[in-house]
Amino acid sequence: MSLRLFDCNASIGRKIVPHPWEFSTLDRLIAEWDHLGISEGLVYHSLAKEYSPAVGNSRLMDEISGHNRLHPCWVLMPAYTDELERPHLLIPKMIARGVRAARIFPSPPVPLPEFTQQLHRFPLIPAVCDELLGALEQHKVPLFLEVMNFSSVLLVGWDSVQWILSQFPGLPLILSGVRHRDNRTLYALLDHFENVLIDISLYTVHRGIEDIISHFGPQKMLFGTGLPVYGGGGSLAQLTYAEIEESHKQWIAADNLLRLLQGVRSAP
Amino acid sequence: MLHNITENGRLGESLDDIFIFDCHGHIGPSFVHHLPGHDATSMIRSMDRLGIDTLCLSGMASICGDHRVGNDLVGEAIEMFPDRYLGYACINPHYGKETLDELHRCFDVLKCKAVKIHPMFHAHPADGPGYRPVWEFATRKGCPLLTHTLGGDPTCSPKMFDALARDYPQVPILLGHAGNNLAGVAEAVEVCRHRDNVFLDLNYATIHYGVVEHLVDRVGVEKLVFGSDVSWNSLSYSLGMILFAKLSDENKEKILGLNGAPLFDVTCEKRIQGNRP
Repeated sequence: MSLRLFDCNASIGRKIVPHPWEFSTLDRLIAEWDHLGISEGLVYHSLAKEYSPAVGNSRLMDEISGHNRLHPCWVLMPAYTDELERPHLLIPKMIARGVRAARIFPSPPVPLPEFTQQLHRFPLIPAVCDELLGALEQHKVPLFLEVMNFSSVLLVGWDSVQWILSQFPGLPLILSGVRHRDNRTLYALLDHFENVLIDISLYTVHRGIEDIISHFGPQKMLFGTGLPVYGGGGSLAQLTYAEIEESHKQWIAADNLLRLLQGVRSAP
Repeated sequence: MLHNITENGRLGESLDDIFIFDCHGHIGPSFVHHLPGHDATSMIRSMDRLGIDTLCLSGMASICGDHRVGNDLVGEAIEMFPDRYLGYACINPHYGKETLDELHRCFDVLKCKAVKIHPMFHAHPADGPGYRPVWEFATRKGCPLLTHTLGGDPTCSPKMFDALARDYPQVPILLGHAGNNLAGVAEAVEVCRHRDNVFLDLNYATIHYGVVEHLVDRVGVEKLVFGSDVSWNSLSYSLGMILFAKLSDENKEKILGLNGAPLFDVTCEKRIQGNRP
């Protein structure tokens, strides 16, 4: 059976330190999607992550204009410094422009050795993030949070993840970067909180999709590639070869994410 | 019906027409993380579904504290599925007095055919005294040695294997994970290019976009072998990195089985007909 595939985790734009074989352009991303059989996906801009959310989000909208296979995902941060509009103003405008998903890049729990790895340097604490996360929750905007990098370094503390899930139960929170090393934590979170999902881009767990479905059902996972940093072929094969019902594959391939995107409210 | 290999992957079809030899697998649970499908029967079920003919196994417990427990599990798996599993003898170098006896037990009693070392887990360098008997044993047997590698790790960074490959030329050395990170890949390429007896097991390092194609370009397809690292990593995820690589089907078949099996004196013939979904 051929799946309709919707990539929840892709980016365009130049990075500070690209790896030797990755690409940065939209045309190359589309070519890779064609190779993998992916019809569309959520895309954020590297400039929004590694330069300025305002500039990068704007650049994203310009670059993907006219490309109906690419759906924008904005990078956000707390707005007390006026680098972005305050959330109660920004989120409705964002949704009105067709942006129905967001990412944040808070400080890692333990400072990482490289200066640029500290990301956006804000902690996930109420005084800093209540306003932003509350606004996203009111509008039901799916929020992507990269919890671990390729080297298994924790980018977000699990106590912070638990805080978001418990304080903003109406906010769909998608954890990216999760792998087998996280299962003992991940399963507990899936057991306790309805609003947590995972992006399977790096979920390299043998029979992991089957096991999560047997414990929590098929609605907790989203297909993603991690392009252009990662290849996407592994993630795709893990889904196509999963020993699960074909309908459940389709949910993971696209339908779970589409349901989240359709659930976004333009008004709180 | 013969399919294009990439199309097989897109459709999740068992690779019934292609011989697949997986040189890197583990059996048993892990204290480090949760592994849902780590037993012999579960892995065979997955192998059937994907079309994997043979899997070379080491025991997770051998990488941990008690190599006898791990090697026994490998032996039991071989007894259960003798046509499908091939065993690695794996020892913990901190129990050096047992090393040779355990290696002989693995080969003579448990029917293992190759050796595996995990210098990082054992916190003992690949060229350290605890592993020297393993290298010498592999030389006497003329059997392959699979080693964990990690770029920058003082116990198993790929560059360490240049001298070992020179000192033990009769041992086909499989650099597990091909260096395991981008710095490690660069080192692994250099060693592999200069040593005829060094091969790269593609698991995990290949998760980065474009690495498989880069390795084919730099070391030649004949030096690359397929390893999934199941059940530590996902069998289907690892397979997908080869299925969707931008290589000819002919080159994919070499990586998936034709290169690796002869190193273990295994005939390249299809052992199963998979279960098409």
